[in-house]
Amino acid sequence: MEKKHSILYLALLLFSVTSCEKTIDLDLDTTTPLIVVDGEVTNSVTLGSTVKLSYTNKVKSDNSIVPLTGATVTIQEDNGTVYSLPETATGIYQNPGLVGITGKTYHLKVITNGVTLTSSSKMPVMVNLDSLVVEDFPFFDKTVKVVTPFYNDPKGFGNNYNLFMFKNGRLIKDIFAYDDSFIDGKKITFPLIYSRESDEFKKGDVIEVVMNCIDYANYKYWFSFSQSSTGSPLAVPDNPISNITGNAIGIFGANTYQKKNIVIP
Amino acid sequence: MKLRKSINALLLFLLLSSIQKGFGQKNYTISGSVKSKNTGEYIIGASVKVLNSNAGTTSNEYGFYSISLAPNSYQIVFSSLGKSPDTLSIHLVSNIEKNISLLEANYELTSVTVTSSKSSGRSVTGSQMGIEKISVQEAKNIPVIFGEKDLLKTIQLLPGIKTAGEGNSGIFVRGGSTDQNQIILDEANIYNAAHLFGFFSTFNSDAIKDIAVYKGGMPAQYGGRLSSVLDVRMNEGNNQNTSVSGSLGLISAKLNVEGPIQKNKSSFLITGRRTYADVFLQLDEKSKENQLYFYDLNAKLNYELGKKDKLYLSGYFGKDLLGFNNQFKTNWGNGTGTFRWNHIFNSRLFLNSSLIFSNYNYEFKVKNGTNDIRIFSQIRDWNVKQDYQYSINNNNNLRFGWSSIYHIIRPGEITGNATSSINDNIQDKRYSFENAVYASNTLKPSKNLNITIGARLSAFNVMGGGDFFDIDDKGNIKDTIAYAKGAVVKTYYNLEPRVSLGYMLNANTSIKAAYTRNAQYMHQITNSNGSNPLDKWASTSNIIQPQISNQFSVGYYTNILQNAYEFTAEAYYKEMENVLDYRNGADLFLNETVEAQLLFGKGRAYGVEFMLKKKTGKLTGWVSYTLSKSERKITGINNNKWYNATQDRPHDISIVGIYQISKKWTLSGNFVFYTGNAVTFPSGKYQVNGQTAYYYNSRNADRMPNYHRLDFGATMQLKKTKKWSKELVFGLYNAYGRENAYAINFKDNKDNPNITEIRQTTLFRWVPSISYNFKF
Repeated sequence: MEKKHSILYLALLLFSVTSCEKTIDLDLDTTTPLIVVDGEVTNSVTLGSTVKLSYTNKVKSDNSIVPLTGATVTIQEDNGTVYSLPETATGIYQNPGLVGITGKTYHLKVITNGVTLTSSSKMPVMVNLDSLVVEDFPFFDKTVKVVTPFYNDPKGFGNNYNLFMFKNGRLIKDIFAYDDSFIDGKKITFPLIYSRESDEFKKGDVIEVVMNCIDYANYKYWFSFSQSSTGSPLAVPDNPISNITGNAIGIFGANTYQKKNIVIP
Repeated sequence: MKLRKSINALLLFLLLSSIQKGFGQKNYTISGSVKSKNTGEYIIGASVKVLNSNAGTTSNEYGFYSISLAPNSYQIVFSSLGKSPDTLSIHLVSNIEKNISLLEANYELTSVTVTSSKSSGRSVTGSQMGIEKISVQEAKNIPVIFGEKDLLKTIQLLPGIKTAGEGNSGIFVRGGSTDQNQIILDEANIYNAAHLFGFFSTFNSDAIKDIAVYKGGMPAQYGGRLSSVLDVRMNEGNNQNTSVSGSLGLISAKLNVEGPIQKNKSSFLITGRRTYADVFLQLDEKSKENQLYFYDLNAKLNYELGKKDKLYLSGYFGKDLLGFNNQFKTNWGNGTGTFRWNHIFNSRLFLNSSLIFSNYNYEFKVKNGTNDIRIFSQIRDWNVKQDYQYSINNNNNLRFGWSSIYHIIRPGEITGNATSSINDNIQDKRYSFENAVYASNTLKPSKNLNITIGARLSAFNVMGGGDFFDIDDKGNIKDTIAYAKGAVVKTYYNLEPRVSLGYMLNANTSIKAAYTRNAQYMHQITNSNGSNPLDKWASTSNIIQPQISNQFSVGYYTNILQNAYEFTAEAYYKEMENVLDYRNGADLFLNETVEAQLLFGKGRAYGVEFMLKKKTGKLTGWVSYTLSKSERKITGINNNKWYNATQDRPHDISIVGIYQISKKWTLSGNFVFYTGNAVTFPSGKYQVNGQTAYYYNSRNADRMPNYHRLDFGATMQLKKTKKWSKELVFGLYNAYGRENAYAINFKDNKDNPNITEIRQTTLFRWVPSISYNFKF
């Protein structure tokens, strides 16, 4: 999908000679605040499990989170232990002791103001993130540095990946979510191409890549997120496909977690 | 459904009885062809009028006319836009053949009066409605962006035809989507009529004779799309003298060579166009590996095989190439070929047989690190058809024929080298037959009444070869069924009645009404609004149903002040069934089970269109206004409630003026205004995993800002002799530099990511252009 967009960008670039961009103001409707779930169980002993609860905000407000406090949050592992996640900061519910195991399904339950929200996710097999390399990549009229993660997709369909990139500790706001429908059983060497010029990697930048292996519902969420929810007009806007049952939006996933760093030479 | 069936039966009965009535009257026939004396080109739609009677006809697509009258003496006037009329006196006692050649009207002699009586294609007489016509000659002086003459852009200034976006050659007709337009070039389907993402059309105006757009009331010989037919005809080539013409513009250079192979008998035409932005790009050493251009090649050969037979061979080939640093390379294009054989059986019966080929494909290559990947997709048609035109008598014409198209689609193929990260994936080819038979009868039961009654019976066979799917409501695949090649997977039939009536209130005023049904079997699956070469075509299958439309329209036509002005008003109501959209989060890219990602529903569109045209004098032009609505209702979208289609634009105004100051200078200007497209803006935002996300409440409930723009043009005739003609054309697009919104994005501020910005992108402000045209 990225490729499809990139050639549209090229077309826009062709006319950049005469095109211009400016900030405008629009009258926008505001929806009644909805509950947003942003939760994950990880297999990392340092991260454990975290569920963030918040409300949607006005588009024209700043990006700070409107936290949902005082909820009861529990996660059950298969049909076994029920872990509770106490609120450790406003709107953030955590249990560092809940470390996920591949093959087990985690059932989330959130109770707040008489509303019950549920979701579940099965932790997939962890695919090893082998290494990171820095490569040159053509960016219209110049060449920029990009980071390419190497990993080997196991044979058999059903592996899904979600990668994040941080530059000097700051998240690069592009989505890199893949399924294995075209790459099954292959060595993966696709660069993570960032879309904003302001994110351009310079010598000495520390690039951190996080690779999560995720289940299919989580892939679908992040794929649809990248397609339709980012405020870009290249696709008809819509909400990402949530796996939360109940009157809420957002995502809950049982994800394997790996991280690697590289310094831009 | 029951009502539909009984309407069908009634219409069939009427059709048959009207044909019967036509036979058995004693008449003689005058027939022949109408052509230009200067070039030998056949004239489409020349008027053939019998003086002091209400009898008359027009020449067909091949310049052939036939009129049957009772024995008597007649004076018959032949006329056409830009030609001097010719009058023929005749004493009719037997069938006769008369070939007419009309001289080019010489504007220098008749001062500067331009008479464009037939120009709009709208006519007070007859029963045909919902049609717009524009010739290259007329469009010549109307300013366009980059000075690149483009009929697909000029027709957007006509009522009911709306642009798909800034500077775009894509069109929305009467609330329909872009894939609901049937675009045919010398009868061959053009599946992607856009160069460079729609900023230019595939039609090099130097090669085109004229274009007719049917917005409603489509004649029965056309079928296959819901919203319109764009019938584009290529020039035939001068069979009198060899001539060379060309132009140099901001964007492209064009060259046209035509001439006789054997005078009066055969001719050829070759027209080429190539853009040269890349020439400038290559000046830079660094960007040597970059590619960015498109080209078109139109060619045509005609041969007269005796008095009764004519052969035509025409072809089009166009391609876009785009590449960056050897790492991305993409190309796409159409190729078509049409072989036609006109045969005159006798003075009353004319036959055209065609063999048509059409191909569209794209290729996309990526090279990066160890990855060398190629993506390919193709759609190909083979079409055979025959069209008979039979003149029963002066008041009764019959047209009938058949068509058979074999479609072969290669939906998507991805292949990589051994070290690439992808597996080869070649999707099953899709095969189908699209067949139709049709008949249509044009009658004149009384002096003031014209009736056209016809029907088209279409059949579509989904053919096997590959896997077909059975899906549930949620789009999950329940079952996969393999069909052998040649096996019929499913067959659809549709009877498409076409009826129109015209009633003359007086010599200058008429009212008309029409009902048309259309069935569409080929569908474009896209999730972007602009033209994208990677948009894919899918044929009707066991899951994708044919799209159906029913359109009702009424119109009022009047000529004012001795035909100096023409006023028309048309109103329409169109309902559509089985229109496509796709599921939220659909992955359309190279998806084998793309059908599982689609949603189906209904559409409705209605509106009124007004046009006032000034046809004579130094100042000519028109004002057009459209008030309309277009909505969709699709299960699974917008809580299953009606919502605005993207192309829903309540108000749309165009004003065009052309002022001929002198023999040397012609000035022109046009102004357009329309309501912004229906779009979806967010009504909330939130954070997930550190990313800002937007919440959307209802589909297309918001609007882009209103669009308006003024353009100017000027043509300076440099030199004009019998042999030489040179001119300079100046243009200024968006003269007052309005910042029209091309796109509106919501994003985090670059410097302060904690706040959201609404960013508007404007493409074109003050685009000047100059081009140089020559002919000798």
